[in-house]
Amino acid sequence: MKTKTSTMLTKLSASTFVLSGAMLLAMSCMSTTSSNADAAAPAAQKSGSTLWAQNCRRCHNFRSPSDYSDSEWEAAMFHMRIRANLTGDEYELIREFLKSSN
Amino acid sequence: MNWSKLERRVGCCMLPALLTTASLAQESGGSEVEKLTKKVGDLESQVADLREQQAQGQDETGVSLDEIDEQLTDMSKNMSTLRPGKRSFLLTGYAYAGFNNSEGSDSTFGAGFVPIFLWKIDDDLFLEGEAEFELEDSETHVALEYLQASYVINDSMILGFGKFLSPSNPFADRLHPAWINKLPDAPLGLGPQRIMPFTQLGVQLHGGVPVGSQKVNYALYVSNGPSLEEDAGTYGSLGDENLSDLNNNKAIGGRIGYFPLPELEFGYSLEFSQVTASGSDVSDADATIQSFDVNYTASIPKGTLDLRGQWAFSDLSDVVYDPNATDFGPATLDNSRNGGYLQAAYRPSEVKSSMLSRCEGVVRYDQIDLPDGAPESTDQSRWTFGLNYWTGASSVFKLAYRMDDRDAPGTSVDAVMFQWAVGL
Repeated sequence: MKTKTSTMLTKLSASTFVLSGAMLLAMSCMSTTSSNADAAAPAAQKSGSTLWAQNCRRCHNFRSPSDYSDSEWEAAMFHMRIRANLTGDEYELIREFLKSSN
Repeated sequence: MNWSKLERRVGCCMLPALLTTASLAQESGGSEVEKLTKKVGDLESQVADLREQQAQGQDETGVSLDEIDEQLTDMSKNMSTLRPGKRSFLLTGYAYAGFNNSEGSDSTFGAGFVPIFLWKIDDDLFLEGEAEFELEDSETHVALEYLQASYVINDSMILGFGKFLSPSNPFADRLHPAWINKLPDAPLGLGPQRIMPFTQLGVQLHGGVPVGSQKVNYALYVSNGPSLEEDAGTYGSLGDENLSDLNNNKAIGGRIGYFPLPELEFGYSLEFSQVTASGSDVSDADATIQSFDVNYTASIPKGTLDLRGQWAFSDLSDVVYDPNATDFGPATLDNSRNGGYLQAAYRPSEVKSSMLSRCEGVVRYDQIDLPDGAPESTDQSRWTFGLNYWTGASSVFKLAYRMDDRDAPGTSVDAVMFQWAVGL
Protein backbone atom coordinates (compact mmCIF):
# COMPACT_ATOMS: atom_id res chain seq x y z
CA MET A 1 0.00 0.00 0.00
CA LYS A 2 2.78 2.33 0.99
CA THR A 3 4.63 1.55 -2.23
CA LYS A 4 1.51 2.12 -4.35
CA THR A 5 0.85 5.48 -2.69
CA SER A 6 4.46 6.45 -3.10
CA THR A 7 4.39 5.46 -6.78
CA MET A 8 1.19 7.44 -7.38
CA LEU A 9 2.65 10.50 -5.66
CA THR A 10 5.80 10.19 -7.71
CA LYS A 11 3.80 9.93 -10.95
CA LEU A 12 1.67 12.91 -9.92
CA SER A 13 4.76 14.94 -9.11
CA ALA A 14 6.37 13.89 -12.36
CA SER A 15 3.30 14.84 -14.40
CA THR A 16 3.05 18.22 -12.69
CA PHE A 17 6.73 18.81 -13.15
CA VAL A 18 6.79 17.87 -16.82
CA LEU A 19 3.69 19.98 -17.51
CA SER A 20 5.16 22.99 -15.72
CA GLY A 21 8.44 22.51 -17.55
CA ALA A 22 6.68 22.37 -20.90
CA MET A 23 4.78 25.58 -20.12
CA LEU A 24 7.94 27.37 -19.06
CA LEU A 25 9.78 26.14 -22.10
CA ALA A 26 6.99 27.44 -24.33
CA MET A 27 7.06 30.81 -22.56
CA SER A 28 10.83 30.95 -22.90
CA CYS A 29 10.66 30.22 -26.62
CA MET A 30 8.27 33.14 -27.02
CA SER A 31 10.57 35.41 -25.07
CA THR A 32 11.92 38.45 -26.89
CA THR A 33 15.33 40.02 -26.89
CA SER A 34 16.24 42.91 -24.58
CA SER A 35 15.65 45.60 -27.15
CA ASN A 36 11.93 44.92 -27.46
CA ALA A 37 11.20 43.32 -24.12
CA ASP A 38 7.76 43.57 -22.66
CA ALA A 39 7.55 46.87 -20.84
CA ALA A 40 5.38 45.25 -18.22
CA ALA A 41 8.08 42.79 -17.24
CA PRO A 42 9.13 43.36 -13.62
CA ALA A 43 12.78 43.92 -14.42
CA ALA A 44 11.94 46.69 -16.87
CA GLN A 45 10.25 48.61 -14.07
CA LYS A 46 13.11 48.32 -11.61
CA SER A 47 16.42 50.12 -11.45
CA GLY A 48 19.71 48.32 -11.77
CA SER A 49 20.52 49.01 -8.14
CA THR A 50 17.22 47.48 -6.98
CA LEU A 51 17.75 44.38 -9.07
CA TRP A 52 21.35 44.15 -7.84
CA ALA A 53 20.13 44.28 -4.25
CA GLN A 54 17.37 41.74 -4.78
CA ASN A 55 19.20 39.16 -6.84
CA CYS A 56 22.70 39.14 -5.37
CA ARG A 57 21.58 38.93 -1.75
CA ARG A 58 19.63 35.73 -2.40
CA CYS A 59 22.89 33.82 -2.12
CA HIS A 60 25.67 36.06 -0.81
CA ASN A 61 26.62 39.49 0.54
CA PHE A 62 26.74 42.40 -1.87
CA ARG A 63 29.98 42.71 -3.79
CA SER A 64 31.08 46.31 -4.16
CA PRO A 65 30.97 47.70 -7.72
CA SER A 66 34.57 48.79 -7.19
CA ASP A 67 35.72 45.18 -6.69
CA TYR A 68 36.15 44.73 -10.44
CA SER A 69 36.89 46.82 -13.52
CA ASP A 70 34.30 47.29 -16.26
CA SER A 71 35.83 44.50 -18.31
CA GLU A 72 35.91 42.14 -15.31
CA TRP A 73 32.28 42.92 -14.50
CA GLU A 74 31.42 41.82 -18.04
CA ALA A 75 32.67 38.32 -17.22
CA ALA A 76 31.39 38.30 -13.62
CA MET A 77 27.90 39.38 -14.62
CA PHE A 78 27.63 36.79 -17.37
CA HIS A 79 28.61 34.19 -14.77
CA MET A 80 25.86 35.46 -12.46
CA ARG A 81 23.35 35.53 -15.31
CA ILE A 82 23.90 31.80 -15.66
CA ARG A 83 24.15 30.99 -11.95
CA ALA A 84 21.13 33.05 -10.87
CA ASN A 85 19.01 32.57 -14.00
CA LEU A 86 18.77 36.32 -14.57
CA THR A 87 16.57 37.40 -17.44
CA GLY A 88 18.08 39.49 -20.23
CA ASP A 89 16.60 42.69 -18.76
CA GLU A 90 17.86 41.94 -15.26
CA TYR A 91 21.32 41.14 -16.58
CA GLU A 92 21.58 44.35 -18.63
CA LEU A 93 20.33 46.64 -15.86
CA ILE A 94 22.54 45.18 -13.13
CA ARG A 95 25.58 45.16 -15.41
CA GLU A 96 25.10 48.82 -16.35
CA PHE A 97 24.58 49.75 -12.70
CA LEU A 98 27.80 48.05 -11.62
CA LYS A 99 29.84 49.55 -14.46
CA SER A 100 28.52 53.04 -13.81
CA SER A 101 29.16 52.76 -10.07
CA ASN A 102 32.68 51.38 -9.95
CA MET B 1 50.94 90.80 -25.97
CA ASN B 2 49.16 92.21 -29.01
CA TRP B 3 51.79 93.89 -31.23
CA SER B 4 49.65 96.85 -32.36
CA LYS B 5 48.86 97.68 -28.72
CA LEU B 6 52.56 97.62 -27.94
CA GLU B 7 53.28 100.05 -30.75
CA ARG B 8 50.55 102.40 -29.64
CA ARG B 9 51.91 102.40 -26.07
CA VAL B 10 55.45 103.10 -27.21
CA GLY B 11 54.17 105.78 -29.56
CA CYS B 12 52.27 107.45 -26.74
CA CYS B 13 55.42 107.51 -24.68
CA MET B 14 57.56 108.87 -27.51
CA LEU B 15 55.23 111.65 -28.70
CA PRO B 16 55.45 113.84 -25.56
CA ALA B 17 59.15 113.23 -25.46
CA LEU B 18 59.59 114.50 -29.02
CA LEU B 19 57.38 117.52 -28.43
CA THR B 20 59.31 118.33 -25.29
CA THR B 21 62.55 117.84 -27.17
CA ALA B 22 61.53 120.34 -29.84
CA SER B 23 60.48 123.03 -27.38
CA LEU B 24 63.50 122.59 -25.15
CA ALA B 25 65.84 122.70 -28.15
CA GLN B 26 64.61 126.12 -28.94
CA GLU B 27 64.99 127.26 -25.31
CA SER B 28 68.10 125.44 -24.04
CA GLY B 29 70.33 124.98 -27.01
CA GLY B 30 72.22 122.02 -28.68
CA SER B 31 73.30 120.06 -25.52
CA GLU B 32 69.75 119.45 -24.44
CA VAL B 33 68.87 118.32 -27.93
CA GLU B 34 71.65 115.79 -27.81
CA LYS B 35 70.42 114.45 -24.48
CA LEU B 36 66.93 114.13 -25.72
CA THR B 37 68.12 112.58 -28.94
CA LYS B 38 69.95 109.97 -26.86
CA LYS B 39 66.79 109.28 -24.87
CA VAL B 40 64.88 108.77 -28.10
CA GLY B 41 67.58 106.39 -29.19
CA ASP B 42 67.23 104.47 -25.93
CA LEU B 43 63.49 104.25 -26.36
CA GLU B 44 63.92 102.97 -29.89
CA SER B 45 66.33 100.40 -28.57
CA GLN B 46 63.81 99.33 -25.91
CA VAL B 47 61.12 98.98 -28.57
CA ALA B 48 63.46 96.79 -30.61
CA ASP B 49 64.10 94.66 -27.51
CA LEU B 50 60.39 94.34 -26.89
CA ARG B 51 59.85 93.30 -30.50
CA GLU B 52 62.53 90.66 -30.15
CA GLN B 53 61.07 89.36 -26.88
CA GLN B 54 57.62 89.18 -28.46
CA ALA B 55 58.99 87.21 -31.36
CA GLN B 56 60.78 84.81 -29.00
CA GLY B 57 57.56 84.39 -27.02
CA GLN B 58 55.73 83.37 -30.19
CA ASP B 59 58.42 80.83 -30.98
CA GLU B 60 58.33 79.39 -27.48
CA THR B 61 54.52 79.07 -27.59
CA GLY B 62 54.75 77.44 -30.96
CA VAL B 63 57.21 74.83 -29.70
CA SER B 64 55.05 74.10 -26.62
CA LEU B 65 51.96 73.54 -28.72
CA ASP B 66 53.85 71.18 -30.95
CA GLU B 67 55.04 69.23 -27.95
CA ILE B 68 51.53 69.05 -26.51
CA ASP B 69 50.19 67.92 -29.86
CA GLU B 70 52.84 65.20 -30.03
CA GLN B 71 52.08 64.06 -26.49
CA LEU B 72 48.37 63.88 -27.27
CA THR B 73 49.10 61.79 -30.33
CA ASP B 74 51.21 59.40 -28.24
CA MET B 75 48.53 59.17 -25.57
CA SER B 76 45.91 58.45 -28.19
CA LYS B 77 48.05 55.61 -29.52
CA ASN B 78 48.53 54.24 -25.99
CA MET B 79 44.81 54.47 -25.29
CA SER B 80 44.06 52.35 -28.31
CA THR B 81 46.36 49.62 -26.95
CA LEU B 82 44.58 49.75 -23.58
CA ARG B 83 41.07 49.60 -25.03
CA PRO B 84 39.38 46.37 -23.83
CA GLY B 85 38.83 43.76 -26.49
CA LYS B 86 35.66 41.97 -27.34
CA ARG B 87 36.40 39.13 -24.93
CA SER B 88 36.39 39.53 -21.16
CA PHE B 89 38.17 37.32 -18.68
CA LEU B 90 38.07 37.10 -14.91
CA LEU B 91 39.98 34.82 -12.59
CA THR B 92 37.98 34.57 -9.39
CA GLY B 93 36.97 31.81 -6.96
CA TYR B 94 37.49 31.29 -3.28
CA ALA B 95 39.84 29.89 -0.68
CA TYR B 96 39.45 28.56 2.82
CA ALA B 97 41.40 27.21 5.75
CA GLY B 98 40.09 25.69 8.92
CA PHE B 99 40.34 23.46 11.94
CA ASN B 100 38.12 20.53 12.88
CA ASN B 101 38.05 18.74 16.22
CA SER B 102 35.62 15.81 16.09
CA GLU B 103 34.97 13.38 18.90
CA GLY B 104 36.72 10.08 18.48
CA SER B 105 39.16 11.23 15.81
CA ASP B 106 42.30 13.35 15.68
CA SER B 107 41.79 17.06 15.32
CA THR B 108 43.15 18.51 12.12
CA PHE B 109 43.75 21.65 10.13
CA GLY B 110 42.60 21.79 6.53
CA ALA B 111 42.69 24.16 3.58
CA GLY B 112 41.49 24.47 0.03
CA PHE B 113 41.82 26.75 -2.97
CA VAL B 114 39.17 26.87 -5.67
CA PRO B 115 39.96 29.11 -8.65
CA ILE B 116 37.16 29.86 -11.09
CA PHE B 117 37.98 30.89 -14.66
CA LEU B 118 35.39 32.99 -16.48
CA TRP B 119 35.51 33.90 -20.17
CA LYS B 120 32.89 36.01 -21.89
CA ILE B 121 33.63 35.08 -25.48
CA ASP B 122 30.94 37.27 -27.02
CA ASP B 123 27.51 38.57 -26.09
CA ASP B 124 25.99 35.10 -26.42
CA LEU B 125 28.75 32.67 -25.53
CA PHE B 126 30.38 32.08 -22.17
CA LEU B 127 32.81 29.54 -20.75
CA GLU B 128 33.44 28.90 -17.07
CA GLY B 129 35.51 26.35 -15.25
CA GLU B 130 36.20 25.67 -11.60
CA ALA B 131 39.20 23.74 -10.36
CA GLU B 132 39.55 22.50 -6.81
CA PHE B 133 42.72 22.01 -4.82
CA GLU B 134 42.00 20.53 -1.42
CA LEU B 135 44.24 19.03 1.24
CA GLU B 136 42.68 15.68 2.01
CA ASP B 137 44.07 12.62 3.81
CA SER B 138 47.71 13.72 3.49
CA GLU B 139 47.25 14.32 -0.23
CA THR B 140 46.38 17.31 -2.38
CA HIS B 141 43.08 16.48 -4.01
CA VAL B 142 42.75 18.11 -7.44
CA ALA B 143 39.48 18.08 -9.32
CA LEU B 144 37.62 19.79 -12.11
CA GLU B 145 34.52 20.78 -10.20
CA TYR B 146 32.73 22.03 -13.29
CA LEU B 147 33.40 23.12 -16.86
CA GLN B 148 30.44 24.55 -18.71
CA ALA B 149 29.93 26.38 -21.98
CA SER B 150 26.76 28.46 -22.16
CA TYR B 151 24.97 29.87 -25.16
CA VAL B 152 22.26 32.51 -24.73
CA ILE B 153 19.31 31.57 -26.95
CA ASN B 154 17.12 34.44 -25.83
CA ASP B 155 16.37 36.56 -22.75
CA SER B 156 14.88 33.61 -20.90
CA MET B 157 16.71 30.61 -22.26
CA ILE B 158 20.34 29.56 -21.95
CA LEU B 159 21.79 26.35 -23.31
CA GLY B 160 24.58 24.90 -21.18
CA PHE B 161 26.71 21.88 -21.85
CA GLY B 162 29.62 20.22 -20.13
CA LYS B 163 30.02 19.35 -16.47
CA PHE B 164 27.81 21.64 -14.42
CA LEU B 165 26.63 22.01 -10.85
CA SER B 166 23.37 20.11 -10.56
CA PRO B 167 20.41 22.53 -10.93
CA SER B 168 18.24 20.08 -9.00
CA ASN B 169 20.44 20.54 -5.93
CA PRO B 170 20.30 24.25 -5.02
CA PHE B 171 22.83 23.81 -2.22
CA ALA B 172 25.36 22.53 -4.77
CA ASP B 173 24.32 24.95 -7.49
CA ARG B 174 24.46 28.17 -5.47
CA LEU B 175 25.38 27.81 -1.82
CA HIS B 176 28.29 25.41 -1.41
CA PRO B 177 31.25 27.83 -1.88
CA ALA B 178 32.94 28.30 1.49
CA TRP B 179 32.47 32.09 1.50
CA ILE B 180 28.72 31.66 0.82
CA ASN B 181 27.92 28.62 2.97
CA LYS B 182 27.26 30.04 6.42
CA LEU B 183 28.69 27.03 8.26
CA PRO B 184 32.05 25.29 7.85
CA ASP B 185 30.52 22.01 6.67
CA ALA B 186 27.80 20.89 4.25
CA PRO B 187 24.39 19.58 5.27
CA LEU B 188 23.67 15.86 5.32
CA GLY B 189 22.21 14.40 2.16
CA LEU B 190 23.34 17.27 -0.05
CA GLY B 191 27.07 17.47 0.62
CA PRO B 192 29.60 14.63 0.87
CA GLN B 193 27.17 11.98 2.16
CA ARG B 194 24.59 12.80 -0.45
CA ILE B 195 21.45 11.28 -1.80
CA MET B 196 21.25 13.54 -4.84
CA PRO B 197 23.94 14.47 -7.34
CA PHE B 198 26.24 17.43 -6.82
CA THR B 199 27.21 17.80 -10.49
CA GLN B 200 25.87 16.60 -13.82
CA LEU B 201 27.71 15.84 -17.04
CA GLY B 202 25.42 16.59 -19.95
CA VAL B 203 23.35 19.40 -21.40
CA GLN B 204 20.83 21.75 -19.82
CA LEU B 205 18.32 24.41 -20.77
CA HIS B 206 17.69 26.99 -18.10
CA GLY B 207 16.61 30.55 -17.48
CA GLY B 208 14.26 32.93 -15.75
CA VAL B 209 10.78 33.86 -16.96
CA PRO B 210 8.87 36.93 -15.70
CA VAL B 211 5.28 36.03 -14.86
CA GLY B 212 3.49 39.32 -14.21
CA SER B 213 5.18 40.90 -11.22
CA GLN B 214 6.63 37.54 -10.19
CA LYS B 215 9.26 35.29 -11.64
CA VAL B 216 9.87 31.63 -12.33
CA ASN B 217 13.27 29.99 -12.77
CA TYR B 218 13.58 26.70 -14.56
CA ALA B 219 16.21 24.15 -15.55
CA LEU B 220 15.86 20.99 -17.59
CA TYR B 221 18.77 18.66 -18.21
CA VAL B 222 19.86 15.39 -19.72
CA SER B 223 23.01 13.89 -18.25
CA ASN B 224 25.01 10.75 -17.55
CA GLY B 225 23.23 10.73 -14.21
CA PRO B 226 24.23 8.99 -10.99
CA SER B 227 25.67 5.51 -10.71
CA LEU B 228 24.65 2.69 -8.40
CA GLU B 229 27.29 1.69 -5.87
CA GLU B 230 27.73 -2.09 -5.62
CA ASP B 231 30.70 -2.38 -3.23
CA ALA B 232 30.35 -3.92 0.21
CA GLY B 233 30.73 -0.63 2.07
CA THR B 234 28.42 1.49 -0.06
CA TYR B 235 26.01 -0.73 -1.97
CA GLY B 236 22.63 0.80 -2.68
CA SER B 237 23.83 4.40 -2.55
CA LEU B 238 24.31 6.70 -5.54
CA GLY B 239 27.61 8.11 -6.75
CA ASP B 240 27.88 11.06 -9.12
CA GLU B 241 31.37 10.44 -10.50
CA ASN B 242 29.74 8.94 -13.57
CA LEU B 243 32.10 10.71 -15.97
CA SER B 244 32.07 8.03 -18.64
CA ASP B 245 28.51 6.83 -18.64
CA LEU B 246 28.05 3.33 -17.30
CA ASN B 247 25.04 2.61 -19.50
CA ASN B 248 23.12 3.96 -22.48
CA ASN B 249 20.30 5.39 -20.39
CA LYS B 250 20.55 9.06 -19.62
CA ALA B 251 19.21 10.83 -16.57
CA ILE B 252 16.46 13.40 -17.17
CA GLY B 253 15.73 16.03 -14.59
CA GLY B 254 15.08 19.61 -13.75
CA ARG B 255 14.02 22.20 -11.26
CA ILE B 256 11.36 24.89 -11.05
CA GLY B 257 11.81 27.84 -8.72
CA TYR B 258 8.90 30.21 -8.06
CA PHE B 259 9.32 33.72 -6.61
CA PRO B 260 6.02 35.02 -5.20
CA LEU B 261 8.13 37.85 -3.74
CA PRO B 262 11.63 38.94 -4.74
CA GLU B 263 12.91 37.76 -1.34
CA LEU B 264 11.16 34.39 -1.34
CA GLU B 265 11.66 31.34 -3.54
CA PHE B 266 10.03 27.92 -3.51
CA GLY B 267 11.75 25.23 -5.52
CA TYR B 268 10.99 21.70 -6.61
CA SER B 269 13.26 19.36 -8.53
CA LEU B 270 12.90 15.91 -9.97
CA GLU B 271 15.28 13.48 -11.66
CA PHE B 272 14.78 10.08 -13.27
CA SER B 273 17.64 7.78 -14.14
CA GLN B 274 18.63 4.19 -14.72
CA VAL B 275 21.68 3.63 -12.54
CA THR B 276 22.93 0.08 -12.99
CA ALA B 277 26.09 -0.39 -15.03
CA SER B 278 25.92 -2.31 -18.29
CA GLY B 279 27.03 -5.89 -17.72
CA SER B 280 26.50 -5.74 -13.98
CA ASP B 281 25.16 -8.78 -12.15
CA VAL B 282 22.72 -6.45 -10.43
CA SER B 283 19.48 -6.09 -12.36
CA ASP B 284 18.49 -2.72 -13.82
CA ALA B 285 17.58 -0.25 -11.10
CA ASP B 286 15.65 2.94 -11.63
CA ALA B 287 16.23 5.95 -9.39
CA THR B 288 13.77 8.76 -8.74
CA ILE B 289 15.11 11.74 -6.83
CA GLN B 290 13.00 14.67 -5.68
CA SER B 291 13.91 17.76 -3.73
CA PHE B 292 11.97 20.62 -2.18
CA ASP B 293 13.65 23.86 -1.23
CA VAL B 294 12.74 27.25 0.18
CA ASN B 295 14.90 30.35 0.38
CA TYR B 296 14.07 33.65 2.08
CA THR B 297 16.47 36.55 2.54
CA ALA B 298 15.20 39.93 3.67
CA SER B 299 16.01 43.03 5.65
CA ILE B 300 14.33 43.09 9.04
CA PRO B 301 14.80 45.64 11.82
CA LYS B 302 18.50 46.26 12.44
CA GLY B 303 19.73 43.52 10.15
CA THR B 304 19.31 40.73 7.63
CA LEU B 305 17.44 37.46 8.06
CA ASP B 306 18.40 34.46 5.97
CA LEU B 307 16.20 31.33 6.03
CA ARG B 308 16.92 28.27 3.95
CA GLY B 309 15.77 24.72 3.68
CA GLN B 310 16.13 21.82 1.29
CA TRP B 311 14.97 18.24 1.63
CA ALA B 312 15.72 15.49 -0.87
CA PHE B 313 14.10 12.09 -1.34
CA SER B 314 15.54 9.22 -3.36
CA ASP B 315 13.78 6.01 -4.27
CA LEU B 316 15.55 3.13 -6.02
CA SER B 317 14.14 -0.09 -7.42
CA ASP B 318 14.41 -3.05 -5.09
CA VAL B 319 17.24 -5.11 -6.55
CA VAL B 320 19.55 -7.81 -5.22
CA TYR B 321 23.13 -6.73 -4.60
CA ASP B 322 25.95 -9.23 -5.09
CA PRO B 323 23.40 -11.78 -6.31
CA ASN B 324 26.06 -14.45 -6.90
CA ALA B 325 27.32 -14.22 -3.31
CA THR B 326 30.89 -13.47 -4.33
CA ASP B 327 31.46 -10.93 -1.58
CA PHE B 328 28.80 -9.79 0.90
CA GLY B 329 25.55 -10.85 -0.80
CA PRO B 330 23.04 -11.58 -1.72
CA ALA B 331 21.60 -8.46 -0.09
CA THR B 332 18.46 -6.42 -0.60
CA LEU B 333 17.32 -3.01 0.56
CA ASP B 334 14.03 -1.15 0.68
CA ASN B 335 16.07 1.61 -0.87
CA SER B 336 14.32 4.88 -0.03
CA ARG B 337 16.35 7.67 1.53
CA ASN B 338 15.74 11.22 2.53
CA GLY B 339 17.82 14.02 3.95
CA GLY B 340 18.27 17.74 4.05
CA TYR B 341 18.49 20.79 6.24
CA LEU B 342 16.73 23.79 7.69
CA GLN B 343 18.85 26.84 8.49
CA ALA B 344 18.34 30.30 9.96
CA ALA B 345 20.88 33.11 10.12
CA TYR B 346 20.64 36.66 11.41
CA ARG B 347 23.19 39.44 11.07
CA PRO B 348 22.54 42.75 12.83
CA SER B 349 24.20 44.62 10.01
CA GLU B 350 22.39 47.92 10.69
CA VAL B 351 23.33 48.41 14.34
CA LYS B 352 25.69 51.25 15.25
CA SER B 353 28.38 49.05 16.76
CA SER B 354 30.85 48.22 14.01
CA MET B 355 31.90 44.99 15.70
CA LEU B 356 28.36 43.75 16.31
CA SER B 357 27.29 44.61 12.78
CA ARG B 358 29.93 42.22 11.48
CA CYS B 359 28.68 39.28 13.55
CA GLU B 360 26.20 36.70 12.33
CA GLY B 361 24.47 33.94 14.25
CA VAL B 362 23.55 30.69 12.47
CA VAL B 363 21.62 27.61 13.49
CA ARG B 364 21.07 24.58 11.28
CA TYR B 365 19.28 21.27 11.66
CA ASP B 366 20.17 18.54 9.19
CA GLN B 367 19.24 14.90 8.95
CA ILE B 368 19.61 11.82 6.80
CA ASP B 369 17.47 8.69 6.92
CA LEU B 370 18.92 5.58 5.34
CA PRO B 371 17.19 2.29 4.59
CA ASP B 372 17.40 -0.49 7.16
CA GLY B 373 20.46 -2.56 6.44
CA ALA B 374 22.29 0.14 4.48
CA PRO B 375 26.02 -0.44 4.93
CA GLU B 376 27.33 3.12 5.14
CA SER B 377 26.03 4.33 8.43
CA THR B 378 22.92 4.74 10.52
CA ASP B 379 20.27 7.41 10.49
CA GLN B 380 21.75 10.66 11.64
CA SER B 381 20.59 14.09 12.73
CA ARG B 382 22.59 17.12 13.81
CA TRP B 383 22.18 20.55 15.33
CA THR B 384 24.88 23.05 14.46
CA PHE B 385 25.30 26.46 16.07
CA GLY B 386 27.61 28.97 14.45
CA LEU B 387 28.97 32.44 15.01
CA ASN B 388 30.45 34.24 12.01
CA TYR B 389 32.53 37.40 11.91
CA TRP B 390 32.57 39.17 8.54
CA THR B 391 35.73 41.19 7.90
CA GLY B 392 34.45 42.16 4.46
CA ALA B 393 31.66 41.40 2.03
CA SER B 394 33.32 38.14 1.03
CA SER B 395 35.67 37.39 3.91
CA VAL B 396 34.47 35.59 7.01
CA PHE B 397 35.69 33.76 10.09
CA LYS B 398 33.30 30.96 11.18
CA LEU B 399 33.18 29.19 14.51
CA ALA B 400 30.65 26.39 14.96
CA TYR B 401 29.69 23.62 17.34
CA ARG B 402 27.94 20.55 15.91
CA MET B 403 25.88 18.18 18.02
CA ASP B 404 25.52 14.80 16.40
CA ASP B 405 22.86 12.17 17.06
CA ARG B 406 23.00 8.72 15.43
CA ASP B 407 20.77 5.72 15.93
CA ALA B 408 23.59 3.35 16.76
CA PRO B 409 24.63 3.87 20.38
CA GLY B 410 28.04 5.36 20.99
CA THR B 411 28.59 6.48 17.39
CA SER B 412 27.57 10.13 17.66
CA VAL B 413 30.37 12.54 16.83
CA ASP B 414 30.14 16.09 18.17
CA ALA B 415 32.56 18.55 16.66
CA VAL B 416 34.05 22.01 17.00
CA MET B 417 34.83 23.63 13.68
CA PHE B 418 36.63 26.81 12.71
CA GLN B 419 36.99 28.14 9.20
CA TRP B 420 38.25 31.23 7.43
CA ALA B 421 36.89 31.73 3.93
CA VAL B 422 37.30 34.41 1.32
CA GLY B 423 35.63 34.97 -2.04
CA LEU B 424 38.10 36.31 -4.59
